[in-house]
Amino acid sequence: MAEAKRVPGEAGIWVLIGGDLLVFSLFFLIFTHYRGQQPEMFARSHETLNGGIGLANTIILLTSSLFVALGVRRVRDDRPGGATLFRCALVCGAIFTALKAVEYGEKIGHGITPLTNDFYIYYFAFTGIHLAHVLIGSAGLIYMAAVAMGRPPSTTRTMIIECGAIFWHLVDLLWIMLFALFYLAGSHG
Amino acid sequence: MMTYPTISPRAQRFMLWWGWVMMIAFGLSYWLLIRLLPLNPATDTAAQVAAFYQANSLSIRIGAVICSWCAAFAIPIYVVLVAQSVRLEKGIPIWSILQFGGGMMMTIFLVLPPLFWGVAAFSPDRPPEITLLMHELANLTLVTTDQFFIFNMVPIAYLALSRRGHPLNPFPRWYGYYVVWTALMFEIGAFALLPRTGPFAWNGLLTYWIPFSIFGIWMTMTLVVLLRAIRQQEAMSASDG
Repeated sequence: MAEAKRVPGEAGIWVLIGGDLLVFSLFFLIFTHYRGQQPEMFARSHETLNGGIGLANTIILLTSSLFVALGVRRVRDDRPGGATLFRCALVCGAIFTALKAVEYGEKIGHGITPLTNDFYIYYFAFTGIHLAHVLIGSAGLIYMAAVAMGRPPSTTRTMIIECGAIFWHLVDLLWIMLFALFYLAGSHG
Repeated sequence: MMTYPTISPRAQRFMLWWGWVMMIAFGLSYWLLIRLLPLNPATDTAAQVAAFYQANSLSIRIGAVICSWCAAFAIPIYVVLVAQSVRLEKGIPIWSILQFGGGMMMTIFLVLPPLFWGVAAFSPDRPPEITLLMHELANLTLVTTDQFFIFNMVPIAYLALSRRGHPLNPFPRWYGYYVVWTALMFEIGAFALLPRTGPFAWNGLLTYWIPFSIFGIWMTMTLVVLLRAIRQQEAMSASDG
């Protein structure tokens, strides 16, 4: 196997990755288009977002991606500990989800819902769709941990783990996009 | 080796094409006769909606008749899908049953919107608010009932991706991943119950155009994949003697 030339995971998963990136890019364009139409309202709404939770979640997901990358390396090198690293990433995913719940609860507690204004329907919908990705990715991590326990390592096992890892990195990347869009650039067009 | 009653490749091909032609007819009568492609804005008043049904009453009802005939022809497509996917399972084919159940439910939600539009057009002179209610029911049924499609798609994706290297697997791996993505995208449709304008409205980019385009691509891919699987099945049975 030519290690340097090989596409990680398998070719087919890039259909899913590419499709997802396409749609989230579309979210990006939609958001900026509508922000351009109502800049003051978007700026006001942006001020109400909890930047602390947003930043914490960004750091948590970046950390989880590091765990996943280290886990994949262990599996490839046929060293133990891959499963543990995937479980650490899973804990990060759980913390991310819990913080999101706190954040949504905070908004709803202040009487802010998806119907409050355009900014909030995008906020709830786009971060909600991303959260669904986090949950699917977490299921993937559970499966990856189980596969990593299997021995001996095989190309199939490695491929499954690489595919799960690619998806988890995608989840991380999509969040970075959303974080930039809502929490950082939400105020200026 | 084979414990299931199988449908002959010729019958499968016939059902597939027949179903496909009827789906095209369904789409054309929705577009040209019912004339709600794309759906009118969700901000239209009862008077505007009632005027639309008064102006197009007969055309919409004829469209609804044709759609009522055609919608059920999704069933043969799912029968062929299940005839192929069932070959990947041993014992009781749970995933194929789930997939088939999702497909059957989907045909119901395919026929309901044209039926409701037809009802709205049936008495164009009734009070406009009542026509509006029927119209809203039709449109929201069309764009928010994607869950049943997903119950069909998830098992297909599972079978496509988990039966690696299975000699009978009709689904290429890229197709499995495409179906996963389709299922994810379809979840967006239900948002149409919230806003009246923008990309999440019932005629919006994310709830209307994208799911419809993706579904059209899915139908086309499924046709190609299944035709190829049927050809392989013929080749295998020929070599088995």
